[in-house]
This record gives sequence, structure tokens and C-alpha cells, in this order.
Amino acid sequence: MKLWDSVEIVEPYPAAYIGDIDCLVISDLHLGYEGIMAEHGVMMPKVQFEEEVEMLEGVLAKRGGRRVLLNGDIKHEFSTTSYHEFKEVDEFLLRLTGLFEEVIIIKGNHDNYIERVTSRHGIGVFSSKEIGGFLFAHGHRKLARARGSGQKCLVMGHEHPVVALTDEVGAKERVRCFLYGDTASGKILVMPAFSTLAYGSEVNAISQKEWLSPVLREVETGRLNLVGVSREAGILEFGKLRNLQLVS
Amino acid sequence: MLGIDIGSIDLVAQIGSPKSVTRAVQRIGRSGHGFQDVAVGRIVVLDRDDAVECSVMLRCAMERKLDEIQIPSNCLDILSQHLVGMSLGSKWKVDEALKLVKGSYCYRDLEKRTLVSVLRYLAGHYSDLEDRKVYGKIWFDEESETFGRRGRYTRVIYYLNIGAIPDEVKVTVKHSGSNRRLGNIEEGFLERLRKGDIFVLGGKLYRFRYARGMTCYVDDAPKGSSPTIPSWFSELLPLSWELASEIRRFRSRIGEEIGKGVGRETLVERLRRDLPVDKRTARSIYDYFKEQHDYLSGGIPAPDVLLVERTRDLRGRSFLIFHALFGRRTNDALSRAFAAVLSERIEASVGITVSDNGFALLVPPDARVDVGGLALAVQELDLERYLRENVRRTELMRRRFRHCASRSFLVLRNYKGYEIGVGRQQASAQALLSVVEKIDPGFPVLEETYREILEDTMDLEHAKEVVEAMKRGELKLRVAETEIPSPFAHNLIVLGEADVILMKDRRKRILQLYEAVMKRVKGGGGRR
Repeated sequence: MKLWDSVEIVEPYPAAYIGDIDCLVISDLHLGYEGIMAEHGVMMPKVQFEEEVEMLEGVLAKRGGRRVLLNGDIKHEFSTTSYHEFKEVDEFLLRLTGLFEEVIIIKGNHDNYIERVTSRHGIGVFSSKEIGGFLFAHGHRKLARARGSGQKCLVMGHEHPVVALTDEVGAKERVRCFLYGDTASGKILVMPAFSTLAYGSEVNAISQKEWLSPVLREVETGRLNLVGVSREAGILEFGKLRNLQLVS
Repeated sequence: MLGIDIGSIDLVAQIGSPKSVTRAVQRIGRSGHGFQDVAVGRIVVLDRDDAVECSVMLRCAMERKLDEIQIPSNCLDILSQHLVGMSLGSKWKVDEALKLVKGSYCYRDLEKRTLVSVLRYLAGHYSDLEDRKVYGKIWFDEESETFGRRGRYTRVIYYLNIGAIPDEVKVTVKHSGSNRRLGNIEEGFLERLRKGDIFVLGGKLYRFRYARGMTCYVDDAPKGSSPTIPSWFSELLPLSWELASEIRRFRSRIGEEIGKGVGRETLVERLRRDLPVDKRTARSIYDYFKEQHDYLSGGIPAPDVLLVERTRDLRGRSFLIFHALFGRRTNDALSRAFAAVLSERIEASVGITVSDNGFALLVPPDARVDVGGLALAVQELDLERYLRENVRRTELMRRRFRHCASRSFLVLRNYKGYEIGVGRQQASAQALLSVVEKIDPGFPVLEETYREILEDTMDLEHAKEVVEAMKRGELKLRVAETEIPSPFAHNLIVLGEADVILMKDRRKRILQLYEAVMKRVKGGGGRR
């Protein structure tokens, strides 16, 4: 599904492809999640790595690209890089370098010490990066400098947006979603998490000041469009977030 | 609580029904422990169903009719704890361990392969070899069939995490403006809250806004508003089958008398002769039954009738109310079987409320339900297998899984200096449940969860009995239509445990929810 002329969702995955710069974008992988849980006493068997690899293969079957950009929170633990993480991130990056000419990493708030892994693969790590008018940033901090007029679009992660669907009898489903649209400071695209385990913000239930990302707290989010992506049900277009907030 | 002596007590005041004759006797028996003393108790009832229940209960106690005792068997979570405990002392051969464990009545039929599956689990054989030092609590050599403790830390894990009473999830309630902490609610209660719902906390009214993780944000409720959702407790004790049967017979008998036109004073006198109750209670019981009888002819079902009331509540939601006075454990099983079959027939999710006196199915407003056909379809089921297959789509499964995960040391409450809050346990449990299912559908913690639901939470045996009785025509279905729920249905609709059977096909489920949401968006208004 096309969001703008050169930006599309790689259906039905939480991944976007930007034609102008021939770049695949995924965000918030949170690799090593189970290992960290196990260290805290939740003995969760490891499945996420395989699931994300399988998803990546699904994405690639639909849409290749010269480069791939990971838009922050590649790994899960804040403070350090544990052994589990190191192994999973290392293997994932090894695959990516084999599949793409260029791999770009934007640093998220969970990505401290990620250079220990990326340096082995010669992958560049940036706090934010502009490519062909697109500004990529994870979104956990306010943007350092004002956005230039030449910029087409800000692409960010961090929020893990999901839409919560409920009905009268009490059924509830959470579906990962993209948020995109025009704001006073230009176009914006919020990516859903690629992680299959990490928790997300129910965007139709929270109020303006409750966004996790300080960037979104300053944006008129009600005007953003919402598109759900589900492996089972495909693409779900919800229209403006504001309308959805009124009914849920 | 059992196992403690509270000491010198003159009188026990029981607030609300203790739910079984045995428990009533035990509780009241806490008083009068001195030589030649007599135990004295007063029961304060909370509503009219409670009055009926407690009155019949007291009569049973005086007639010395106690409930049957049920001893759970082959609990794999407790077995996990014992196996880790055993490994601390010495190395074990599997056959030796099996012999010891089978010495307990609770594990008398334990099979070797089940024991081995638990040992495999405890040894972390579900993880990669290199991760087993983290995941494993014991080592288990399958070839030589021996096991023992893994590392010194196992002892610490064991002593800090044993116990059978699960932590209850407390969701923190905060004021969304000031971020002030207001108190706690149960996790199951949070699940039922919808934006705008008004509920009582610490005597004040609040309006639910949204939840993030294990924190729930609320506003002050507008002046003059009343709660839209009643206080609710997930772990109320269930009414025993025996007592439920007594109450069912009692109810039918009084219903019959009222049907014959026996007057108020005569019946109140008879109630006072039959039951150890005062005049006011007897009158309340009579009036309650009379209201039901007058509102809905045949509303007090005879012993051989299962009355199903098709109705709407004040908010216009469609309900099927089964006046099935079988006790909650039996109704837990029956309701989910009926709901799952119905969900398949109408291709929609079905809400459930269950109480001791019956159960209600909440169906989408435009669903066409053929109750007779539904009942016939339920009679065709292999109830046990069917419930096992369908319970996965309920909230009950998720709650129970967390308890089992914690008792089986899959989630450690206390580990290497980390104290894991229940919030985190719960947040993890849902992800954990789906992950565990993927790696092995026969995972011991999962097996134990099914066992607890089918054997402890539900009373499968009596549910089968009810269905069999329907099949043989000894229990006849009667469907009645009412505009608003009859008096007997009131408590069921506002109280009771809530759950939902999700539609089987996740794709259809999401699409239906999507369509419902978009319809509301286009309608341009709120839901309530």
C-alpha cells in the first residue's frame, strides 16, 4: 500500500520501502528480549529471533532494496550488551550484510554499546541521518535541530504503535499500525515495532501528553492517518486517528 | 483460612455466604472452643440470592449434610517444586523418584512419561544447550535416567520461590491529571474496563481513561454519575454442587406452592418452620420468589427444566440467560461449552458471565440464536475434549497460566536479587503463553494449566451429568422471552465472573472488529 508517492508499506509486514532512496526501513527489533527476561527470572524460551528472520524473508520476497535502515532499538537491554543479545544482533546483522549493499543503523534508547557488534560488520551507527530529504531518527529525544524546508519526511520508531479493537461482548485485539501524515513541521511516518514480543502504545486510547515519544507529544497526532498491519488480516485502513479516538 | 487457631472467640459473624456447608461449619466452629462451650455464629446476607443460599445451607448443616471433598491429583506445578526440592539433597534415579512421588495419594496414578516430561522441563531441555545454565534448575541425564541439582543457585531459587498461593496482580490506579496514586484494582477487573466506564475505588467514583502496562489512569467521575461497572472479584469461592442441588430443589418446591396460589403468610410460616431464619428473611425470600413468578410465568423452573431467558439489559445488549442453579464450577464448564458452540454458529465472539445460580451469554445485537439447536449441538459434544480445545481462547486461560508458570518456576518471583512484581509477571505471562505453545503444545506448564481449568476451576463431571440429563430428556429445555431480565437474572447480569470466548478464526475476528470500529467512526459518535 502506498502512503506517499515514494513510500509504501510492504504488506502485511511492519516494514516500509522508500523508492526514492531505494531503502527498506524496519524499526524496534528488540533482539535478545527473551535472554533479558530470563536474567530477570522469566524463563521465556527463545523464539523472537527466528520469527523476525522469517518476517524479514517475507518482506524480501515482496520487496528487495539496495539498502536497509534499522530505525533504532535493534537490541533490548538498556545498560549493557549481554551475551544473548550480542549473539542475536550479530547473527541478524550478518544476514543483513549478506542481503543488502548498505546497512544503516539509527541508535535508539536501548542501543547502548551496540557499536561492539556493529564494528565487526563495518556498519555505520548514527543518532539520526538524512538521506535524500528523509530524516531518520528513533524518536526517543526531541530533534536536535529544526527540520529544514528541504526535508520531505521524518521517519521514526520508538512508540510501537498498536491499535486496540474492542466490541460489546468484551473481545479485544491489538493490531500493529503505522501512523503517517502532514504536520505543522512537515510530513511524519511512525513505524510499528518489528519485535514480536515487545509491548506497544495503544494509540487510540492514549491522550496527547501520554505519547512515549517527546517528538509525538509536540505533534498534532489526531491528524495523522492510521494503517493497521496484521499477518492474518492484512492491511486495515482506519483514517484519521482523531476519529478513532472519539469512538474507542 | 485453615491451619490457624484464632483463639478465644464467642461469636463468628460471617458476611455473605461461605459457599459450602462444610465451610460454614468450619468457620462458625471457630467460636466456643472452651470446655462445654457451644459454637455460635451469625450470617449477614448481602442480597436475596445470598439469603436463599445461606438459609438452605444452615438447614443442611443442621441435618449434617456436608459437601464431598475433592483432592486434586497429578498437579504438575507442585510436582515441579518437589522435584527441585528433592534434587537439592542428592542425585536421583528416575524410578526411585517415581516410587517416592507415587507414595502420595495425590500422585498415585502418575505415569513415568509425565514425570520425565517435567524433569525435561526443569532441566531446561526446551532451550539450547548453552542456555541451559540459565533455564535449567536441575540437570537430567536421559540416558542414565538420573537427575540432580544444577549449581548452587538452585537452592536459593527453591527457597525464595516455593509456595502454592499465587501473587494476585495489582494494577496501580493513578489520577491522569496529577499522576497521584489512588489505589489498586485487580488485573481481571482492568480487562473489563472500557474508556468512560465509571467504577468505585476506596469509596470514591472514578472514570476510566486508559491503561498503560500495569497502570490504569482515571479522572474524577462527573458529579451525579453512578458506576457503570460493578466491583468484581475474580476469586470468589464457588458454591458446591451438593448445596446448589439442595437450593435448586428448595426453589422449585416454593415455586410450586406459589404456583398453586398458597398465600404469603402461610408460606412465610412454612419457611420459618423449615429453615433457621427470622421472619424478615423468610419474607424477603417469599417476596423474591413471588416477584420472579409474577414477572415470568414458570420463571421458577421445576427440577426437570432448564430455563433459558432471552432478554436485553437496560443498555440494550442481548443476553441469553441460563437459569442453571448448578454452582459456579459446573457453570464454568457449561457456559464455555455453550458459548464456544454459539460462537462457531454465529461467527462472532461471545461474552460470558458466570455465577453460582446460572450463566449468561452476551451476544452481538443482530445475532440470530436458535437456542434449541444450540442445546442439541452441545449434547453432541465430547465435552472434555471440546472444552480443552476452546478454553485457549478465553481470559481464564491467561490468568491461570500465570499462576502455573509462577508455581512451576517458569516465572521466578525472586531471582538473583530481582523481585519481579506481579505486573511484570503478568505482562510476561501472555507473551510467555504464546511462546510456550509454539515450542511445544504438550509443555508441562501448559498441561498443568489445562488440568487446573478443567478439574479445579471447572466441574467437568457434573457438567457432563447435566448434559447427559438433557440428552435423556430428564432435563427439558424451556425458552422464554422477556423485555428486561427477570429478578432471578439480576445478580447474574451485574455480578458474576466475566470472560469471553473469542471467535476461532483470528483473521475474521480482526476484520469483524475492524468493521465494527469503522461503523462507529462513520456513525460519528461514542459507543455509550
